[in-house]
Amino acid sequence: MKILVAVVGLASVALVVLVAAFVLRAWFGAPFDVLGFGAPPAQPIAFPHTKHVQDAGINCLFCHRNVTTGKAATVPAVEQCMFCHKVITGTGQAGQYSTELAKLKQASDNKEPINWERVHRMPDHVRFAHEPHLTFFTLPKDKGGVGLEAAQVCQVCHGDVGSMTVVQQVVVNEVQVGGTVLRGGGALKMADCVNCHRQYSAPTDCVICHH
Amino acid sequence: MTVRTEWDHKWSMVVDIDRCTGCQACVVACQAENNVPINTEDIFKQSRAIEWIRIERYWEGEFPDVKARYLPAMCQHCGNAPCEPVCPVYATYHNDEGLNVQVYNRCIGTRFCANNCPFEMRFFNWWQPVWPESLRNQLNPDVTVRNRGIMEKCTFCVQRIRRAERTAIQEERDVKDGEFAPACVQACPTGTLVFGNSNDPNSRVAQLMKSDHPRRYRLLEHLGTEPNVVYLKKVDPYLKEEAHNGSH
Amino acid sequence: MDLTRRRFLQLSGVGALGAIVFNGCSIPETELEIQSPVLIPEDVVAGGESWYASLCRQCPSVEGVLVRVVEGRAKKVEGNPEYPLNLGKHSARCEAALQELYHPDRLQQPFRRDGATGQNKPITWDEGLNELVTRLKALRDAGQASRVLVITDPLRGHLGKVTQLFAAAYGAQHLAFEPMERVVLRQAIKDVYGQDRLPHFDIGNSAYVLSFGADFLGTWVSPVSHSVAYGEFRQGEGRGRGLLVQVEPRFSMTAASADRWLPVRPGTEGLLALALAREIIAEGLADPDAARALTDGRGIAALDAYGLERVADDTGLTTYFGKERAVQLIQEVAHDFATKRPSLALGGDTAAAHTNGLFNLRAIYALNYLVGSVGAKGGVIFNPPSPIDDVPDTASGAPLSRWQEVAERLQRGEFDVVITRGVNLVHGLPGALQFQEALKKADLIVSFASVPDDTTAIADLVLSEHVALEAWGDDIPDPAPGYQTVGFQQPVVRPLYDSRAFGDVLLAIAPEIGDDLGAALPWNTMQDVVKEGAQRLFALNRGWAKATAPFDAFWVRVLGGGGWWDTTAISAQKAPGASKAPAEPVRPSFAGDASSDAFYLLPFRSHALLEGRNAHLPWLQASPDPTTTGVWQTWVEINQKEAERLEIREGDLVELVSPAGAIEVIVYPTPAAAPDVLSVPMGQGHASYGRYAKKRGANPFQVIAPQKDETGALAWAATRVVIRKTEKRTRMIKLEGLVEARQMEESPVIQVTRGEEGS
Repeated sequence: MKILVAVVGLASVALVVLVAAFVLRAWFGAPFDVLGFGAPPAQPIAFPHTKHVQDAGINCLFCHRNVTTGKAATVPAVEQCMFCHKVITGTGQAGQYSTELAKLKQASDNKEPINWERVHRMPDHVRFAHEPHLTFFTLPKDKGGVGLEAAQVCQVCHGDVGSMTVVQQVVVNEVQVGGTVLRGGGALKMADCVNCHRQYSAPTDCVICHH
Repeated sequence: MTVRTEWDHKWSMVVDIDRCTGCQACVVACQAENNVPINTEDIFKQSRAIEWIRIERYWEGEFPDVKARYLPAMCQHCGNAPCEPVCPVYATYHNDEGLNVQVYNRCIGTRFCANNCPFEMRFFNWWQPVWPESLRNQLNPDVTVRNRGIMEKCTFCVQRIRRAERTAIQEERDVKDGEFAPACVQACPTGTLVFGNSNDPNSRVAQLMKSDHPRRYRLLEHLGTEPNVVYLKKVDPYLKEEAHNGSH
Repeated sequence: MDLTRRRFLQLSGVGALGAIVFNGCSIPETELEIQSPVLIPEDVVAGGESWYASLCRQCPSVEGVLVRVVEGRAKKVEGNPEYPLNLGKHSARCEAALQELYHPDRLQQPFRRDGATGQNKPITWDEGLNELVTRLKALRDAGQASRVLVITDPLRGHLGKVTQLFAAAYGAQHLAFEPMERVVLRQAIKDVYGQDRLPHFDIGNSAYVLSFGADFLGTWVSPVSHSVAYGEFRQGEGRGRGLLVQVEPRFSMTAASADRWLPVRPGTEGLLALALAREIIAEGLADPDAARALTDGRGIAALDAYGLERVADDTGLTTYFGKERAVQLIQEVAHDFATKRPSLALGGDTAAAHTNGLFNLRAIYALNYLVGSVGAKGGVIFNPPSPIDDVPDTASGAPLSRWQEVAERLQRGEFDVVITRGVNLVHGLPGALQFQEALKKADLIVSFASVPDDTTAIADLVLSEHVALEAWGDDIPDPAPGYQTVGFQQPVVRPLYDSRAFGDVLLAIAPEIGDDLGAALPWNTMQDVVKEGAQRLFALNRGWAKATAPFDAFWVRVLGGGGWWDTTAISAQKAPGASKAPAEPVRPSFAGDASSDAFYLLPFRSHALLEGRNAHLPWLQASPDPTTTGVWQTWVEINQKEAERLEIREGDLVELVSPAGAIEVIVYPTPAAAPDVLSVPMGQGHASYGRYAKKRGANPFQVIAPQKDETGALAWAATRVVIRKTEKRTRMIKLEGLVEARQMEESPVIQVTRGEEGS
């Protein structure tokens, strides 16, 4: 009997510790890679960034065209995908679409939007805007900026998306751009934001992000 | 372009009561801009309606010499705000641009601040706000939807201030007077509400706020909260001396 | 199990732990998705957000608005700073256009009601239009086109033209409906000034405004443009403070803003106006020509029937103020009106809604002749005709007499098909007309609607209509701001549901009904029609966008600017001059109990819901009434002392009983009501109009007796009611008392010595 109590007690303590560890780790960084937590969300169409960025050499800004002007980077409209995919069918033959691209063609034909799963998401009480970040990091050094290329700026928080077949959120501790080592966006927690804002003397008034 | 983080801004408002007709345009404009929950009949019954700006109506006199006085009232963004020191978690504080700020994610809902506000301009979310799914399409993406258990109040439309400052940075200039306005000021058909940077002596708001303006007063001035909203009195050419003395 | 983050949040949301830890994270499903739209939205191309110029259709005055669109969704409506009518300002009503667009009870596709079971069956547009076309074609081929009745809201601009052309080419009857029509006002303007269009009331430049019954800051004619001018009138730079005197039996929001409120007995407004005229002439302050014309050259002897003391008694001012002060007040108003020029007299609403409405308004508008304010700055400024000549630039609902005739003809089975659009006849016509029963006699009722209302509920074929933010259109404001103006309405978002625009449907079915109909309506869509109108404006080669060429550039420019206007195109028409005043006044007559137990019933348009058209929008339902601060309900305003005398308190439910019917309303005692007057807001009492309006409050049209003015218009203020107590009580829901009531000002108003200008 005593043994049973001990076992149950120990098991309970272990469970509590495990849950606490899980919650704390998720709270301060990224969750453990168990039960599908570390896994990227399944997208309605398997979209390989590698094909587009590494193979085709397309710049981030070509598709996420709002990122330098607006708050959201925005995903491209179906119409925009079809600019190229009218010709590129995935099978090499005109009109013959591969399985994944057929879904795109279908959406375009039926005039249906595609509902992508969000990968990077800020909490509801954070009003993040891409534009000021892009502006600051691409500004030449002599004007007080960092002097990066736009595509390099994305990496600071999103990691090297161009090399991902399936996009997922990663913890970016530091980024090497050319010769310089930059502090990364971490796990996109508030501490990561504030550290960077302090480093670059960006405003740290709460109301800048929380309103 | 240069990176700019410091501004010589103090956002202030002037309310010219002589122009106000009580039309409620400001109230609905505020609700649309700031994702204020729908004040349903039930919520009104519980006396928990949220109106960041409201128009108070006071009666004066008896029929037939009766008058209605309108007083548009919103957070006064007090320079010496009684709500700020009582917050145990620093969820409300004063920022560099003269705003009394409420940080939703810090708020733990003690309601001390609302209790301490002499103007009753702070509102507590007693319930989770609900919108039918289709009406959610209207929600302003620039403003946080507040949860149950959180205090909220007028922000002087800080999202519009931020937008105007971002535009000014991009165009390498200062924010121009009248370039933007909070939703209530923008809507107000009669021009009762005027908003601007009172640190700029040439701004319209600074002109109207001058201490020698004959109609100037501030709400509950004797409490010493230094409100950042200045009111201009109603003019009544037919007011009788005795009625005036007897009214308060 | 594939435990994703969303799944985890859902699970944790169930447990108590989740309730604590994740209280701040109740995430709507949609925010975990990013939608990539089909076509590239323009606002994404531009980066961030876009503002589109369009028109607001939430009230009849039609203001120019800008709509903020972010990622294809409309977020905010604001006034268009360029649009001459509202100059960047708007009302609470405009704002709520968004809630109409995203209303949870919007019709998502057409449906057919089964007559036997009463069930609604969703159908396709093809099925719906097929039934309509077959029916219309058969009737027309049988030579019975006149058995079709088309009822719309008053339509100005090209939609009005298309509807008129359709009805004329088909041979159907077309009638326009608005619950409180402006027939009397238009007739008075025509009689007194010889104008077909409503004039521009130049409040902004006026020094003294004398308003009879017209709640011009709240709901009358063009409230936003009046309010913009009112701000200037009060405290505009470089001018003295204007004075406003409101003569009205009810304490409206205009009366609340006025410097002086004269609560006259209902229906005696014209009497007072003529007494003022007599006094002005007697004092020798009147324009001599106008005085001569008004008195027929006989001097004030011609106006003997309007002696000061007699009018003070007849208007009830003696009862309220005492004889001496009443006479003094009339003299003071007459003197100020004649000396503080430019002065402006205007009237409408309760002054017009009596059996002697036309007499009242004629007398009121004639006052402007005496002070030289006709066609002058700060007075009444006439409007020029529309720049596009064959497009209706005025539109008014048909008078009650027409609706009585239509109801009789419907009862006799003279109409087979009734098509309604934008009107709620069942709610907005006096209950005594029994219009609902009459309407049911028609074989087929076709209703165009975006949110189903009381009239849609009895329709057989319901066709889902676009809301204004999804449709093309234009408007010629009535009244215009004193110069030629055309506003353009463009869709700001893609249609949300399977709906179509009314104009587009007419254009689509016309060629199917007959070749001649197709030839009469040679356009494919409303966009083409509106664009053709713009082409004609382009050909005029004037207005603010004059130098823009070619046409396509002009088109983009006027659409972006919200419209076309030419400040130099003003009216060239001269006023005909004053005419002889009637020797004897026309007295009002009232339906209902004439004894002193009864009260005058003054229904009034709610500042937000108007007569009921905006009752489905929750922002407007929750918008406090400016004087009572009541929301979501129907109440009756009664004088405080009267309420004490009758031993009724706030929150008591009482019945108001007239010969036409009875309604149950909540008592609200107020210091600002005449002792013999009850006022009740309109807007509520819908059997069906979406979840926010359904079965809420009472509809005053149920107690309004079908009294008429000599024009045949409904005299909606000419009913007397008695109060019947019930034992029931409820709570009056209002903003007042929500927070601790205390006057926040040390000294709320400052006094100005008479004769001195305000600061």
